[in-house]
Amino acid sequence: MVALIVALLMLGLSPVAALINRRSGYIACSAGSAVFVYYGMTNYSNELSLFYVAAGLVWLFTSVYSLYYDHHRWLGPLYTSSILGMAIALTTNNLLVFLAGYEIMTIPAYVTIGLYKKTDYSAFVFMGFGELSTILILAGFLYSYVVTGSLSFSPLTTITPFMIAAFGFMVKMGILPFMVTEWLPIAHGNAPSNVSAILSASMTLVAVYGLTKMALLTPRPDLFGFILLGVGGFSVFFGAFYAYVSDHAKVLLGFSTVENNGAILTSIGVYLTAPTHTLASFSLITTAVYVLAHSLAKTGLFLDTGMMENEYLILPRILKNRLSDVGGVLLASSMSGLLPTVGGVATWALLESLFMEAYTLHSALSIIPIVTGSIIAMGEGFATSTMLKFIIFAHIFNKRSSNEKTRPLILLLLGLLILAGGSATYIFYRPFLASNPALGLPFGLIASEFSSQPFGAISPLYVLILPSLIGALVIAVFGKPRIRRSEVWNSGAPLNEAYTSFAYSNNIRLMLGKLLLTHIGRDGVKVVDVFWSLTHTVAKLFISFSRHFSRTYMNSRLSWYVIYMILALIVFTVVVVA
Amino acid sequence: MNWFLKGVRKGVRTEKTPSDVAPWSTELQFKGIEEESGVTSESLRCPTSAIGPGWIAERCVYCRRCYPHYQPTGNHRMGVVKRVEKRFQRSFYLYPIDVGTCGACNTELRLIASPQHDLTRFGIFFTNTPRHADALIVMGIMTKGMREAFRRAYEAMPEPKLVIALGACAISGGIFQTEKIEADVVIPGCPPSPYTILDALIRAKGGRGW
Amino acid sequence: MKTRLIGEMGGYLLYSDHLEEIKTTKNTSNTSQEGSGRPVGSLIFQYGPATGGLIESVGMNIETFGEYIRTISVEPYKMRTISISRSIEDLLLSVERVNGNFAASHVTAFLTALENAYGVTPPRDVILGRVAQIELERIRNHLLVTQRLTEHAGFSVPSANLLYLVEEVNRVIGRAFGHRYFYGVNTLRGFRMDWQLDLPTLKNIVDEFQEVYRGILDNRVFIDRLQGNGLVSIDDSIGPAARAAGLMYDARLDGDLAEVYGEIGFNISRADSSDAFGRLLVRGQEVSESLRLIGKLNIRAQEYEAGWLDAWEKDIKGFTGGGLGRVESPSGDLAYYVGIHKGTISKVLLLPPSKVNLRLFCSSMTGNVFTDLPFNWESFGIWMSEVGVEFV
Repeated sequence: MVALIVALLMLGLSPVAALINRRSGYIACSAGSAVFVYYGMTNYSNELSLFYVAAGLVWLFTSVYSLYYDHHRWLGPLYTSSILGMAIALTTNNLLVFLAGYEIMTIPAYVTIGLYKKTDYSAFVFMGFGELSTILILAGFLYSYVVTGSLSFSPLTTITPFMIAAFGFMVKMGILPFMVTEWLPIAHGNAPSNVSAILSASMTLVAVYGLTKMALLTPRPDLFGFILLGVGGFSVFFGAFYAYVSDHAKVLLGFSTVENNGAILTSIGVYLTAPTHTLASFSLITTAVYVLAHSLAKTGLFLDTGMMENEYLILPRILKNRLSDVGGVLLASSMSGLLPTVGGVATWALLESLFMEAYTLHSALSIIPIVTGSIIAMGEGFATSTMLKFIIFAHIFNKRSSNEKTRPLILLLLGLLILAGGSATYIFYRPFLASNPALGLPFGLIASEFSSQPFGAISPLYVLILPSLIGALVIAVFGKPRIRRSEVWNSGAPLNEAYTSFAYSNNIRLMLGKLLLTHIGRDGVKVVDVFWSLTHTVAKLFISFSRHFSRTYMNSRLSWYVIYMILALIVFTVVVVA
Repeated sequence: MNWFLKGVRKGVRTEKTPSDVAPWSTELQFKGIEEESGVTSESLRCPTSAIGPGWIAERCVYCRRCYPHYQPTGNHRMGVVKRVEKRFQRSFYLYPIDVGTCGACNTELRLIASPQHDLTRFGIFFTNTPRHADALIVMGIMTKGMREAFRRAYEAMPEPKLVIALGACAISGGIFQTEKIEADVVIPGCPPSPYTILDALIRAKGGRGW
Repeated sequence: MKTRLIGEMGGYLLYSDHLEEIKTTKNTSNTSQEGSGRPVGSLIFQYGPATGGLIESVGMNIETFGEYIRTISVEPYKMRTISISRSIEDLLLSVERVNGNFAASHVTAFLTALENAYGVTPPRDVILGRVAQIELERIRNHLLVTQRLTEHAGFSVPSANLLYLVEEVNRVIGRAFGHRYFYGVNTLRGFRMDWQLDLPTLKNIVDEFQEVYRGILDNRVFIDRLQGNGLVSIDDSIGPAARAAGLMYDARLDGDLAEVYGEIGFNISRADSSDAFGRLLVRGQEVSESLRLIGKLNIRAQEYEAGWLDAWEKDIKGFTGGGLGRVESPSGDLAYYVGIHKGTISKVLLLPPSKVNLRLFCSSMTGNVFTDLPFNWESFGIWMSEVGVEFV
């Protein structure tokens, strides 16, 4: 408990410190985050504690990185207050304090996005959806208060509060209103890299945390659980799909966040619908591990984009060297769900839990997890290609190198953490482990157990050890390979233009043209995000309505109305905190 | 009908020994009407100076102006193998590069893959990249545009490697009288028949020819 | 018959009935057009010159933003120059080697141009011999084009079958004429033949071809690669491409040998789909038609006293003039213009069919995808060798 108070104090001090001196603010924030991680590890109670570790690590790495990145006067205070808000939301047990923390984390983000791009558009998009999220969560919490008569998170007898709040959290996760919405990539893509990192990695984590916490307090809702499961699978597919056809590095990562949040939602769906206790606990672990994997890898990748001079992958101009190359590849492989990284474990565990569910349900309902699993597997295919595209065009094909050591080192450390984390999560969480002496495999070499039977694949530790062992053996037997360097063969012509990242994913633009409404014109290929255009249409209707409304009743400018809304919310949160 | 069955129904069409060679793609020999020493390139108006002393296979473009002093013998084994690479005995991958042909060498080279000749039974294969090639088959006159590509292709190949010059243009400049290309294996003809090509290729990898 | 434009020939436009000097510059570059400027994410993807996949060296600059081909320009890497200051007999040997696969067509067009310049007509047997050679060349070329198409489709059995048949045609030609590509066959005074043309074997070859051809036409997967691929339906197209679009364009109807073709009863082959598939259909019909024509010719070796040649040799400084010769090569109209100044050849202009076909190919590539490129390319029967030749 002392650790928590110290952490919150330090985080609370950091915005003030940042106002006076940027560096001291970031240092205070880093220290606070480190203590927060310590708190999460020492006070481990259930899977939710892993959220603390994940969030703390994100803040820690991002804050240290910010020491070498920040270039705006207001960024420091805003960034640190946002983190403070998250810390409050994560650690409180009071509904209103949670909501206050939620707002404290969100409001500085609007301002940062507004400052960064100097255009209202992205900031307003973020604000609009941020407030929609808050309103839904508030409604859910109020309902909870009505039912239980308590302002704390307390067990519920009805699922309605959970359902309402879940919609709110899903908006924050980028999944609602239309399964996949471009608001999250637009917002996250238009922030400075360190803010993008905490937006995408830990702000959505807070939403997942809220959702999980509510889920733990709610009776098992069968139908709604299946809905979440299916919606999650849908988001995985479309998130990955749109990420694949995005060329803006940060927008790509934003869509990837939607994809990952979809996977987490599916995992929560499995938890809610699991027919057995074993499966429920397995899926809860899956959720936590997925959160950890996504937070760390996404942080690293966003920090990587902070070293780009141009945010478009067509012309990445990223400052890179061997350190960040290795770090980036590790992060990207985790993001694409490859073993032996944490991301690999998470993806594997998710698909595994879906198959287990289908197996245990043993009814017509089994079709839901099976179909969702297949959709997720397809989405993961896109995710792998997306990450491949990111890493190829940012690192492998990119020839610019820099001597900078610090920021690449942070990236490498994150990468190594993710690599080590793969095997660590696995050994740490018992249900992931099983052995099969009959197959001659000792403890832990076959993953997951079900009904005392091994159920699943080969462990990440095994994947880690085997190639290294084989590689070492080959070198031991044949010696160091002889390498001859020669020019790249380009049908006899010198190398001219390189393949672009846009061209890399254009096959899908053409093949799935019906889905993307691909239009080929004189100026190139254009695709339409169907979900975004739907959102846009609704938004336009809403704007014309509110314009009519404001002209008639408020007789003032729309922007004033928006400012009024922000102020009202700040006042509201201050009152609540007080 | 299924294409596989259609193929089987045609039977084996591969030739055991060379059987049908066009006369004016084989060795020419003096058929004494006068003394051989009295017959020169000038007197026969040979466009490539391929006569004297004797018949010079590398230069001949088979215009038949020397007929009937010189007549085809039907012997297609005209290739000159200057360097044998026995390591290619079982698998010999060829990368053809056309540096300025009329297209006839290209088709004749292509036809060594026809069922009659079937290069693969001799352990010879085509590859689409010099990276996987054991031999570079160069054909045509060395044109300005292709010189660079030729150099790159040669450099892209792994060691050991052979350069095979195919056809009169590559070997001697042919009718165009341009530079000759240095090569380990020289296959004369304008164009060389598939028999001549295969025979030289087999010998280049240490075989007895065909 | 309506006058049709055939192509550009060294500062002149060649029409089916006359040659016209170009007054205004018209865009005839080998580039397909779509929009100007380069869209975001596009690149020039260079394919070639040493492609490995295609039979000859050719460079293609493909402007793309991935998969979709926006524009394409073709660069003939192998540019050969042929000196016209050599003896006319040596020049004839060079003309044979402008395009080995169309050697008989080239030589016939060149000799016809010379003969037209001097206003002489060779004996009918010589002309029939030339027609036979061109038709044999056509059979071989159409077989080869079909083979290339099946090879690109990975259609191994028909591909091997067709390659077998191409070799068999070559052997028939080799046995009769002594050389598989008609090199050294045609002279200023006629043509050489060693043996009777083996018509029964040729008929068997064509029969077997028709069997394979019908087989591949039944294959939906293969046909899908050709249908809708490389649509050209423009007035200045030539050869099988024009006939596939249903046009009555054939130098055998209006070229220099039209009279002979008319007498032996030539029937034009046409289709009604202007894509790669239509071009294949035309070729399939033409193989049989060529065989039928050859069967009617009954050719034998010919040498004749070329009166014009004696005049040339005697009267070195006397003649100034020029003549045009145009024949239907396997890929379309092929024309030579030979200019003579005071008894020596002063100018040789060439309009190879591949030059026109190359332009048609480029214009038909916009909007295509990479996968369809080799099919469209082969369907035109383009030989880069004749595109890159310059007479100086």
